[in-house]
Amino acid sequence: MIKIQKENFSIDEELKKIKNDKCGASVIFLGTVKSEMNGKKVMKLELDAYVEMAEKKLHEIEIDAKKKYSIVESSIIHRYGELCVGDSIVLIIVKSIDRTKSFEAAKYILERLKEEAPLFKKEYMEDKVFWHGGI
Amino acid sequence: MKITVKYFAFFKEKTGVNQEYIEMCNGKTITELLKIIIEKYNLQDKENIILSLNQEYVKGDVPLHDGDEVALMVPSSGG
Repeated sequence: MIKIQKENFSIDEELKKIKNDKCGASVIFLGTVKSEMNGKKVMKLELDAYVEMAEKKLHEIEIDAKKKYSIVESSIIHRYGELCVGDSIVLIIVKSIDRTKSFEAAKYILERLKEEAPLFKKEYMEDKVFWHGGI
Repeated sequence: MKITVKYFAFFKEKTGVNQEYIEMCNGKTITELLKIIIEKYNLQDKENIILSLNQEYVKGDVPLHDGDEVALMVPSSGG
Protein backbone atom coordinates (compact mmCIF):
# COMPACT_ATOMS: atom_id res chain seq x y z
CA MET A 1 0.00 0.00 0.00
CA ILE A 2 1.39 3.36 -1.05
CA LYS A 3 0.18 6.76 0.10
CA ILE A 4 1.53 10.26 -0.45
CA GLN A 5 -0.54 12.53 1.77
CA LYS A 6 -0.66 15.76 3.76
CA GLU A 7 -2.49 14.22 6.70
CA ASN A 8 -0.81 12.54 9.64
CA PHE A 9 -1.10 8.77 10.04
CA SER A 10 -1.62 6.35 12.91
CA ILE A 11 0.88 3.48 13.12
CA ASP A 12 -1.73 1.30 14.87
CA GLU A 13 -4.32 1.94 12.16
CA GLU A 14 -1.85 1.25 9.38
CA LEU A 15 -0.72 -1.97 11.07
CA LYS A 16 -4.34 -3.13 11.30
CA LYS A 17 -4.86 -2.52 7.57
CA ILE A 18 -2.16 -5.03 6.64
CA LYS A 19 -2.77 -7.54 9.45
CA ASN A 20 -1.68 -11.01 8.43
CA ASP A 21 -1.30 -13.75 11.03
CA LYS A 22 1.06 -15.75 8.81
CA CYS A 23 3.68 -13.05 9.42
CA GLY A 24 5.60 -13.24 12.67
CA ALA A 25 7.91 -10.34 11.88
CA SER A 26 6.72 -6.76 11.46
CA VAL A 27 9.37 -4.06 11.09
CA ILE A 28 8.29 -0.44 11.39
CA PHE A 29 10.39 2.55 10.35
CA LEU A 30 9.13 5.98 11.35
CA GLY A 31 10.94 9.08 10.12
CA THR A 32 10.26 12.35 11.98
CA VAL A 33 11.36 15.98 11.70
CA LYS A 34 14.51 16.42 13.78
CA SER A 35 15.20 19.51 15.88
CA GLU A 36 18.81 20.13 14.76
CA MET A 37 20.88 19.84 11.65
CA ASN A 38 24.64 20.47 11.59
CA GLY A 39 24.39 22.01 15.07
CA LYS A 40 21.72 24.53 14.04
CA LYS A 41 18.08 24.61 15.14
CA VAL A 42 15.45 23.46 12.66
CA MET A 43 12.35 25.66 12.93
CA LYS A 44 10.11 23.73 10.52
CA LEU A 45 10.14 21.74 7.30
CA GLU A 46 8.24 22.10 4.05
CA LEU A 47 7.89 19.10 1.76
CA ASP A 48 6.96 19.33 -1.90
CA ALA A 49 5.97 16.20 -3.79
CA TYR A 50 5.41 15.12 -7.38
CA VAL A 51 2.61 12.95 -6.06
CA GLU A 52 1.79 10.86 -9.14
CA MET A 53 5.42 10.05 -9.91
CA ALA A 54 6.27 9.41 -6.24
CA GLU A 55 3.39 6.92 -6.01
CA LYS A 56 4.60 5.22 -9.19
CA LYS A 57 8.22 5.02 -7.99
CA LEU A 58 7.24 3.74 -4.54
CA HIS A 59 5.02 1.11 -6.14
CA GLU A 60 7.99 -0.09 -8.22
CA ILE A 61 10.19 -0.14 -5.11
CA GLU A 62 7.55 -2.08 -3.17
CA ILE A 63 7.24 -4.69 -5.93
CA ASP A 64 11.04 -5.10 -6.09
CA ALA A 65 11.29 -5.41 -2.31
CA LYS A 66 8.53 -8.03 -2.23
CA LYS A 67 10.39 -10.15 -4.78
CA LYS A 68 13.83 -9.66 -3.24
CA TYR A 69 12.94 -10.22 0.44
CA SER A 70 9.78 -12.37 0.28
CA ILE A 71 7.69 -9.69 1.98
CA VAL A 72 4.09 -10.71 2.56
CA GLU A 73 2.61 -7.30 3.36
CA SER A 74 3.95 -3.75 3.27
CA SER A 75 2.87 -0.16 3.63
CA ILE A 76 4.72 3.00 2.64
CA ILE A 77 3.31 6.41 3.58
CA HIS A 78 5.09 9.73 2.99
CA ARG A 79 3.71 13.11 3.99
CA TYR A 80 4.10 16.50 2.28
CA GLY A 81 3.22 20.06 3.20
CA GLU A 82 4.36 21.99 6.26
CA LEU A 83 5.74 19.91 9.12
CA CYS A 84 7.01 20.90 12.57
CA VAL A 85 9.78 19.41 14.71
CA GLY A 86 8.70 15.98 15.93
CA ASP A 87 6.05 15.51 13.23
CA SER A 88 5.98 12.23 11.36
CA ILE A 89 7.31 12.32 7.78
CA VAL A 90 7.49 8.74 6.58
CA LEU A 91 6.21 5.36 7.69
CA ILE A 92 7.43 2.04 6.31
CA ILE A 93 5.90 -1.20 7.57
CA VAL A 94 7.18 -4.53 6.35
CA LYS A 95 5.66 -7.87 7.33
CA SER A 96 7.10 -11.25 6.53
CA ILE A 97 7.72 -14.66 8.02
CA ASP A 98 11.44 -14.00 8.54
CA ARG A 99 12.67 -11.15 10.80
CA THR A 100 16.04 -10.74 9.07
CA LYS A 101 14.34 -10.26 5.72
CA SER A 102 11.88 -7.80 7.24
CA PHE A 103 14.71 -5.62 8.60
CA GLU A 104 16.63 -5.77 5.32
CA ALA A 105 13.52 -5.00 3.29
CA ALA A 106 12.64 -1.94 5.39
CA LYS A 107 16.17 -0.57 4.89
CA TYR A 108 16.07 -1.35 1.17
CA ILE A 109 12.75 0.49 0.75
CA LEU A 110 13.95 3.52 2.74
CA GLU A 111 17.25 3.87 0.86
CA ARG A 112 15.56 3.61 -2.53
CA LEU A 113 12.79 6.00 -1.45
CA LYS A 114 15.42 8.61 -0.53
CA GLU A 115 17.14 8.23 -3.90
CA GLU A 116 14.23 7.79 -6.29
CA ALA A 117 10.95 9.16 -4.97
CA PRO A 118 10.43 12.77 -6.12
CA LEU A 119 9.92 14.30 -2.66
CA PHE A 120 11.69 17.53 -1.78
CA LYS A 121 12.56 19.08 1.59
CA LYS A 122 12.83 22.77 2.32
CA GLU A 123 14.58 23.41 5.64
CA TYR A 124 13.70 26.45 7.73
CA MET A 125 16.77 26.76 9.95
CA GLU A 126 17.40 29.38 12.63
CA ASP A 127 19.88 31.13 10.31
CA LYS A 128 18.79 30.24 6.75
CA VAL A 129 16.13 28.67 4.54
CA PHE A 130 17.02 26.31 1.70
CA TRP A 131 15.84 23.48 -0.53
CA HIS A 132 17.91 20.33 -0.28
CA GLY A 133 19.76 20.00 -3.57
CA GLY A 134 18.52 23.42 -4.64
CA ILE A 135 20.49 25.88 -6.69
CA MET B 1 3.16 19.88 -30.27
CA LYS B 2 2.00 20.82 -26.77
CA ILE B 3 4.16 19.83 -23.77
CA THR B 4 2.99 19.99 -20.15
CA VAL B 5 5.75 21.29 -17.91
CA LYS B 6 5.56 20.86 -14.13
CA TYR B 7 7.77 22.65 -11.61
CA PHE B 8 8.66 21.40 -8.15
CA ALA B 9 10.46 22.70 -5.05
CA PHE B 10 13.06 25.37 -5.93
CA PHE B 11 11.81 25.62 -9.51
CA LYS B 12 8.19 26.18 -8.45
CA GLU B 13 9.36 29.15 -6.38
CA LYS B 14 11.78 30.48 -8.98
CA THR B 15 9.27 30.39 -11.85
CA GLY B 16 6.18 31.19 -9.78
CA VAL B 17 4.16 28.50 -11.55
CA ASN B 18 3.18 24.92 -10.75
CA GLN B 19 2.44 23.89 -14.29
CA GLU B 20 2.28 25.37 -17.79
CA TYR B 21 1.93 24.32 -21.40
CA ILE B 22 4.69 25.04 -23.90
CA GLU B 23 4.12 24.82 -27.65
CA MET B 24 7.06 23.53 -29.70
CA CYS B 25 7.60 22.39 -33.28
CA ASN B 26 7.45 18.65 -33.88
CA GLY B 27 10.79 16.87 -33.64
CA LYS B 28 12.20 18.99 -30.80
CA THR B 29 13.95 17.42 -27.82
CA ILE B 30 13.95 17.78 -24.04
CA THR B 31 17.25 19.71 -24.19
CA GLU B 32 15.65 22.24 -26.52
CA LEU B 33 12.68 22.55 -24.16
CA LEU B 34 15.02 23.06 -21.20
CA LYS B 35 16.86 25.81 -23.09
CA ILE B 36 13.55 27.64 -23.60
CA ILE B 37 12.69 27.31 -19.90
CA ILE B 38 16.15 28.42 -18.71
CA GLU B 39 15.95 31.54 -20.88
CA LYS B 40 12.32 32.28 -19.98
CA TYR B 41 12.94 32.19 -16.23
CA ASN B 42 16.60 33.17 -16.18
CA LEU B 43 17.68 29.96 -14.44
CA GLN B 44 21.37 30.05 -13.72
CA ASP B 45 22.71 26.55 -13.40
CA LYS B 46 21.27 23.60 -15.24
CA GLU B 47 23.61 21.12 -13.58
CA ASN B 48 21.28 20.59 -10.63
CA ILE B 49 18.11 20.28 -12.65
CA ILE B 50 16.61 16.80 -12.47
CA LEU B 51 14.26 16.10 -15.35
CA SER B 52 11.52 13.57 -15.81
CA LEU B 53 9.54 12.67 -18.91
CA ASN B 54 6.14 11.06 -18.40
CA GLN B 55 7.08 10.30 -14.77
CA GLU B 56 10.40 8.62 -15.55
CA TYR B 57 13.78 10.22 -14.84
CA VAL B 58 15.66 11.34 -17.95
CA LYS B 59 19.40 11.60 -18.46
CA GLY B 60 20.69 12.98 -21.73
CA ASP B 61 18.63 14.16 -24.64
CA VAL B 62 15.43 12.49 -25.79
CA PRO B 63 12.83 13.45 -28.40
CA LEU B 64 9.52 14.90 -27.25
CA HIS B 65 6.04 14.12 -28.54
CA ASP B 66 2.70 15.87 -28.38
CA GLY B 67 1.12 15.46 -24.94
CA ASP B 68 4.34 14.64 -23.11
CA GLU B 69 4.70 15.67 -19.46
CA VAL B 70 8.07 17.05 -18.39
CA ALA B 71 8.99 17.98 -14.80
CA LEU B 72 11.82 20.09 -13.39
CA MET B 73 12.98 19.02 -9.96
CA VAL B 74 15.87 19.22 -7.53
CA PRO B 75 17.43 15.94 -6.33
CA SER B 76 15.14 13.82 -4.15
CA SER B 77 15.38 14.39 -0.40
CA GLY B 78 12.48 12.43 1.03
CA GLY B 79 12.63 10.13 4.00
